[in-house]
Amino acid sequence: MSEPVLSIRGVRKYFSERRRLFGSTPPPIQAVQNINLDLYSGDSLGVVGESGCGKSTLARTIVGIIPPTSGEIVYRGSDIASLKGRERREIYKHIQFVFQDPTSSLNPRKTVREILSAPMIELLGLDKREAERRAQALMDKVNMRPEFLDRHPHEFSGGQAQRIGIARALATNPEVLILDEPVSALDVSIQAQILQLLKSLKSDLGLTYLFISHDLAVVDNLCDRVAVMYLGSVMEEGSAHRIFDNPRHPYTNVLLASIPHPDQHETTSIRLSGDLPNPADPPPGCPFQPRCYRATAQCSQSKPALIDYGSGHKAACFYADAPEPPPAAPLESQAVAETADVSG
Amino acid sequence: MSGSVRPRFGAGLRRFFYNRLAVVGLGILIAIAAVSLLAPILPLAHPNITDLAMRIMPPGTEGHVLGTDQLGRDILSRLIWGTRISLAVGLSATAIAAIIGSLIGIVSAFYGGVIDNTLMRGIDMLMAFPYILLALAIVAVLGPGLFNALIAISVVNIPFFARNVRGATVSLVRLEYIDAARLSGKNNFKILFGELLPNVMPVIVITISTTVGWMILETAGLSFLGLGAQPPTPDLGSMLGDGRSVILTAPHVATLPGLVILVLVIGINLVGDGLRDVLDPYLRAGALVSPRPATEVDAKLLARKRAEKADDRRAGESEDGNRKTGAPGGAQSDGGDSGQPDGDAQSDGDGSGHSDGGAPHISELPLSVRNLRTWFWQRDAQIHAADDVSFDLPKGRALGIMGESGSGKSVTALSVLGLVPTPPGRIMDGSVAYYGEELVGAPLEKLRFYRGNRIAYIFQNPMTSLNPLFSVGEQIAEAVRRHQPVTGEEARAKAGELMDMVQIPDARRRINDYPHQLSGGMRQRIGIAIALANDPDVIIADEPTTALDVTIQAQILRLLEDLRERYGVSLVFISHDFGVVSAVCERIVVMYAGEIVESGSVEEIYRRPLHPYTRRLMACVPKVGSRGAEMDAIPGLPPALDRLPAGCRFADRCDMAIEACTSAPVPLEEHANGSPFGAREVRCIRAKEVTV
Repeated sequence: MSEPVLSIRGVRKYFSERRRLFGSTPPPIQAVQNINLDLYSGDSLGVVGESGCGKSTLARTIVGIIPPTSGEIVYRGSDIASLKGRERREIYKHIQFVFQDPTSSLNPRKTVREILSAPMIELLGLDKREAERRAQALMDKVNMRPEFLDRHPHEFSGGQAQRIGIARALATNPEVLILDEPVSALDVSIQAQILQLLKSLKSDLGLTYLFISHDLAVVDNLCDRVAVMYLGSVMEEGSAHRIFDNPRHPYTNVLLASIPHPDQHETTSIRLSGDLPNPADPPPGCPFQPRCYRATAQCSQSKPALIDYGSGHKAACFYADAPEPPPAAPLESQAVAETADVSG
Repeated sequence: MSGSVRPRFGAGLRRFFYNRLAVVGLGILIAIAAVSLLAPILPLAHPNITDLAMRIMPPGTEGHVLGTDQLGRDILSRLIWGTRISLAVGLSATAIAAIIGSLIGIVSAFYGGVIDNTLMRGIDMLMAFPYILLALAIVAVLGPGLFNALIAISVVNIPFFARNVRGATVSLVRLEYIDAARLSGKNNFKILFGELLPNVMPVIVITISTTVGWMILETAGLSFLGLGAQPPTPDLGSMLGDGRSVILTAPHVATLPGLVILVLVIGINLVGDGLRDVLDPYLRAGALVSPRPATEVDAKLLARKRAEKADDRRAGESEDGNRKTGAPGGAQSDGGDSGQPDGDAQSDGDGSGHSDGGAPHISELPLSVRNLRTWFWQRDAQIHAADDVSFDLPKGRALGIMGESGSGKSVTALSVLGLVPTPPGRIMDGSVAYYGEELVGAPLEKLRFYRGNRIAYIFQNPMTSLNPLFSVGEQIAEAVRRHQPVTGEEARAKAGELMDMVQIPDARRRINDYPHQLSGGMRQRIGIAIALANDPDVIIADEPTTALDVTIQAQILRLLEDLRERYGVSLVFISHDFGVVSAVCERIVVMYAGEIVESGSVEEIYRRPLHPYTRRLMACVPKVGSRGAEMDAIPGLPPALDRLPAGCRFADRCDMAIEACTSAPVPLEEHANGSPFGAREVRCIRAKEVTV
């Protein structure tokens, strides 16, 4: 296999709170714990997980908005995790970012022209006229009328604003796009428009995507590979069809079973009870163990490693290879009862 | 660029001139500024030439319109030249304070940490002294004189700017567009002055407009004390000081400069208010109108309702007997403990179109909405938020309202109990009936009685609907006590029961928790417990799971389902997600641009959507397993609700639209006999052609 374009190696991000006036320093929030992911050219890797799983923190760490606590982010063979100043700006040419909220990521006092030309002037050193020409081409790429260059962000709907956010990210012709929940703030019909746009941009421009989302269906639609995160760790990783058709990790199973579907009004599948543990005080062993319907004593003693079970399908579970227990009704109620106690 | 800035500027100007007092202030300022600017060419006596023969002349003396002071100097001339100096000093002091103060504020907010601490502690030290004392100390060190007074006043006012600007900047620094600018390659300098400063500018301007008047007063104060303008230079403050010694014999010498100061400062403050209105519309005087306790009902509709009610009462007396037999106990809820206000139940006023044979009478329905029309009235637009919305909800059933943002689903839900804020909301037409009891135009006490009691709401974001200052137990107990005559202890016990009912583990301990101590899912359970507090007949849940994670959403959906089955509550469930609606509802109405476009059972709509919008909306929702499939997105955007097309509102995005679609409004028509309650309806002239 060829070399990955972007390689995340042992990245951790801990947020430590300020020391209290009296008493000890509170334990740091372990937002991202030892993540290893490879992104190959032309890949679209989806990172899914629920709120608080560290997926957005990971995205921001990769692009350099926040520095990682430890670990390497290797772009084309060199570690970019601690770059600053000019070297960091050089990386911005190649790795760009699309924000979740299109309205708060566009400066209300700037015109679209100013927003789109900024990266071309600052990063590529283009003059204003050349930037103008390319800004018009960019607008065309994201299916917006070039006249809109004169407008301010508040004059656009959410979907249009997100198109501008995407255009801004594409302004320097980057190789890798990190997309942080780019469609979750949008209405369903607009979401489909943006997903369609992202797909056609990817094939037209040969982009590589790292796509963060909480929506499994969106990820399955857009991505070839998927990593499932929970409480700062990757639980399962592999091609989309393996993950979604034959999940090996109980958490992935629970996520899939939780999606309401009109075809199965009465779902008898496993449901998760209890809440996410405190990321400043993660449970011992497997992070999912207190809520897991398959957990045993072993799970709380040691943390299962992310092991490859063939064809790049990795899972961090001691029972990833064992068959699912039969999905009988008693299992469900039992699981709920047990975990409800633990979560209290 | 100018093309897009001009309309905003024009709008601002219009808003400024809308404020009459600000225009008066602006007039005063322009007049004063013009006169003082023209001082050198006006035919005035020299302000400093003394003429002891003409000492203390009263106003009206020949050659001295406003008289003279104790050295025989012309007061008019000194006033004009003095105003010139006072204005110049006040404005330059403001400019210096604004520039230095804003710079400190913006830099300390942007960098934070040590820089912030150092700068702001310095500012705190400046603020620890009474400002006049500080100014006196500075002048004492530098020596008296106008220039030194100017420096003193600038220094004294720097903290105002620093603090205001820092406060405004701190909230902006964390916004994503700052990150985006950094990713665009901008350095800190460009981010500070190119991205942040334009957004902080309104705050700076507002602070200037509120402090410039003060600065002029302070300049006058220092001069009055003899520390500012030195004789013979005239300045409003020193003139006031000079006049003080003759205040008993010649009051005009002190009064006239005093009046000029007064008028000048009033003018500045009026203009400042006007500017603030333009730049910060939320603070506008009179803009902070609290919404009315119930949505306004259009006057014509209200009059018609009253007339109908009177008619019904007359007709009802004769009809009363046979209706009682037709619907035994229909008007009474099962709870029985509610003690509804005396039942002036009225019959179905508008004789709705499709009440075929087996349909229950309106007096048996916990909720019946007919032709509801709620609009938002804005200064120059009427937003048709909900138009002609009708649905029935029988006891114990669940109805879903599905639609995207702006479809009118929430407005419909809030209109039921008059919870749409007025202004701008107004119910224009239609009726909402609870067991036959009309709620549109009902008196406020009646609406209050129903709110949270017979009809309860669950909102999308439990964090904003719960009060952060009270424990969740107190808030549930409060909901109980609002409608039930129980003691505090009983209410608390009931709160515990309710928390058990919504399956909050370890409810007894959690009862004292505050909302922020609970997770999103737990908070939503509290929201549900509050909705259940008075055993309501109807629960209206507005996107109750949208803010939650998918695993938590599954828990909440199941809880709602359980509660509905166990307690026979009727449910209106609003969501944009067909999957979620289908998990709890039997019947769905689909809304688009304020109208119902389709209704029917979950299965029917899922298997055979009749309206092109429903069909295409469901087609463009990605599903797990639909790997890489091309999504057929709906092109374009929904229409603006204040400029709706004459015909079908979906026509311009529809691939089935023909000419007839755009010429006239399309009615919602019955397509087939429906199930499980209500007909299968669709608002499309080509619905009959659908054969999927």
